Amino acid sequence: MNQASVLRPRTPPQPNASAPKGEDDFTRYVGISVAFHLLLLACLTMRAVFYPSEPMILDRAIRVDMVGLPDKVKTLPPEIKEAIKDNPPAPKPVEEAKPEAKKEVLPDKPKAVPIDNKKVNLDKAKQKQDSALKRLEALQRIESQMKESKAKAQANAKPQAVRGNEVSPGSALTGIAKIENDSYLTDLDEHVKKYWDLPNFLANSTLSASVVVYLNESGIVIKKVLVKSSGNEIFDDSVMASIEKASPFPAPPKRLVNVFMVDGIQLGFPD
Amino acid sequence: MKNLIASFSIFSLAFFFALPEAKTQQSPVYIKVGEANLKKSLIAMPSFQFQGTPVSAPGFAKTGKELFDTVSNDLSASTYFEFINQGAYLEDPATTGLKPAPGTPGGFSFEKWKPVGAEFLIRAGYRISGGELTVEAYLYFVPQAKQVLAKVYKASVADARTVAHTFANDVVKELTGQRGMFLSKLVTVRSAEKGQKEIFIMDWDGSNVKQVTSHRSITQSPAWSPDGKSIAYTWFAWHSNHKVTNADLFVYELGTGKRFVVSYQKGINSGAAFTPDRKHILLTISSGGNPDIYRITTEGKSPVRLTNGPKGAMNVEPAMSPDGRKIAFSSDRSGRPMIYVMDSDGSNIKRITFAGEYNASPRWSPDGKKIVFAGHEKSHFDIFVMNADGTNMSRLTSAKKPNGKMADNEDPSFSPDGRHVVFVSNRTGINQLYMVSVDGETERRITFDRHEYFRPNWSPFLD
Repeated sequence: MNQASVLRPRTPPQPNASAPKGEDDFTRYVGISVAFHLLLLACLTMRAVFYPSEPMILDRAIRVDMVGLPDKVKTLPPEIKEAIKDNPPAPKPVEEAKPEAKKEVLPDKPKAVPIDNKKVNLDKAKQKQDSALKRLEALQRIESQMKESKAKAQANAKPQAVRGNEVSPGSALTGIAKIENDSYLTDLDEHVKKYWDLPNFLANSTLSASVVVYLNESGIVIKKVLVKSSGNEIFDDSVMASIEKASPFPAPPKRLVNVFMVDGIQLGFPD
Repeated sequence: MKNLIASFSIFSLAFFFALPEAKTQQSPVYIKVGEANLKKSLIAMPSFQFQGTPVSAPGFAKTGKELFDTVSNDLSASTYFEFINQGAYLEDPATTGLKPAPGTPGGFSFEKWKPVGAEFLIRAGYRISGGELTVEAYLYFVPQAKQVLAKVYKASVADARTVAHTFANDVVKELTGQRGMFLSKLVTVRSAEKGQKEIFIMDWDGSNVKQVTSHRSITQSPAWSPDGKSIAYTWFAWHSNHKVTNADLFVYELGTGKRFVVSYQKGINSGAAFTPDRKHILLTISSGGNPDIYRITTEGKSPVRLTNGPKGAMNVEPAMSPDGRKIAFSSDRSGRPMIYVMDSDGSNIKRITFAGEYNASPRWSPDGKKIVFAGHEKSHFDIFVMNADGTNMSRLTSAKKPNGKMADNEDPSFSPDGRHVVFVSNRTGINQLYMVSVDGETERRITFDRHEYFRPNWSPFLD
């Protein structure tokens, strides 16, 4: 009996009277929630309308590289500066040492150049200039001879072939001469710059000057002419002093000796 | 036809033979030497010669030494000159005149100064009569045996330093064409008793110190007006009505001794900088919560807020460019304090420093091309200078304290000639004033005492 009652199938739960009440509560709570949210939305809207907040400023994005501040550039002591000045870091090639050996008779520093030597060098320069003038005279004679031949050509009534782009002495440099010339000039500015000391108080000036220097075959300055003054005597003095200190210049290439002796080289300080 | 060909041949030959002659007339090869090596000029300056009677001027030796020391210090600080040791002189300046022989009997000889390497020679003498000092001074360019400058100065004996500074200024003006800064002054905060800090003014070389404030409180951030007649500073003043201490901004007139309160809003009113026209003052005010930069008239009216956030960020230490168009300031809006530049109306803000951990105290050079500031890195501050757009930054200072640790170098300010920067350094253990040349090569100590100095500000030209 008891067993039968145990085995009796379970009857489904009967609906009770409280179920409709729970649904009503749920509906009421949902309604309250909706009303509360609407009220909150209304409040926020009112606040936004009547009490606007400050606009949020979004700056433009920037990239930030985390880098250290620069180190202080240490200046070399004067004695080290002088040592570097006297011994430039770039050593000269062995080939260039040979012409220096030839200059053994020349003084190491321009201050030590004896006046007598200068006179000798000036004489040499004059000789060179005389030879150059003779060369020009010879060319003028050739020109007159050519005029005579030209007259003969007119007489022969045959057209003379015009000479082409033939390099004659004294015209534009080409080939090895040009290479030698360019190479020589490239080193020359550094050579002079090394000896140009300008007073600190003229550091920010915009002064400039030009000097034409005439060199002999050994590179010794035989003449210097201030062709453009800066208008400041101290500046000009520093320029002329630098040329004196820089003499002797590197010896010009043999085939260009006459060019630098007759035409000279114009140096712009600083440009 | 034959004539035509003949003419052409003649022309061709003439042209051909004209070439060598043209060569003889052409310009020589032109070479640009480039920038020169800069060097200090060797200068000889014998002691100033007393030209009066010692009986009538008992203190003449002291005056002469003061004149000599002041000129010597000025010209040495200029970084233009290196003085020749007086022991190397080949003639006795005491027995030779101030002008050269043979034009002046008994005058000095240029030939005696050339061998010692003198490029410039200063000869000066002075007389004292009835408390009036008369100084006669000459500058000569020795290589050309030429007189460059000749001046006579008259002043009271008490103004001997002013006379010396004026002569040094004249030397610089004559040689460079630029004004010398030797009559300029510094205004700075200096420690006083019981933790108090007062405002002091001194000559650029640290002499002639004068106390400006006696508040027995804390003052900070003094700044010169563009005409050098007024100083703006912040004083932690006691407000008895509210019973609080507040950092208020004042302007003090040096000529009249009058003081005006300019801004006293709750919180900080500090970091003042005059605009070039002297009509306004830029300052930091924190009454709005975070410190921001404002512009206010020198009478304390019409405050205009120039920076506004971002929220939580501080914008402080304004410095106006000499042309009045830009304002440099420091701000931590990017996280760490860095230097920014904006237009004078607060627009167009641009960050210009990105290096280091902390950059502060920007100050413009007088020409407006550079900005100097204090940069913090590896636990200490150093002085840096850069172009106004933030490029080409270089470090000007680096020093160690006696204990081996790196010293702090901060609070920079440009000299009126733009060639030097004054700053505070604790390299001796206490904050003292120093100056460094704008290339960082030459440093000089300005103060030698046991006080602590803060926030020095270099005056404009005062002469």
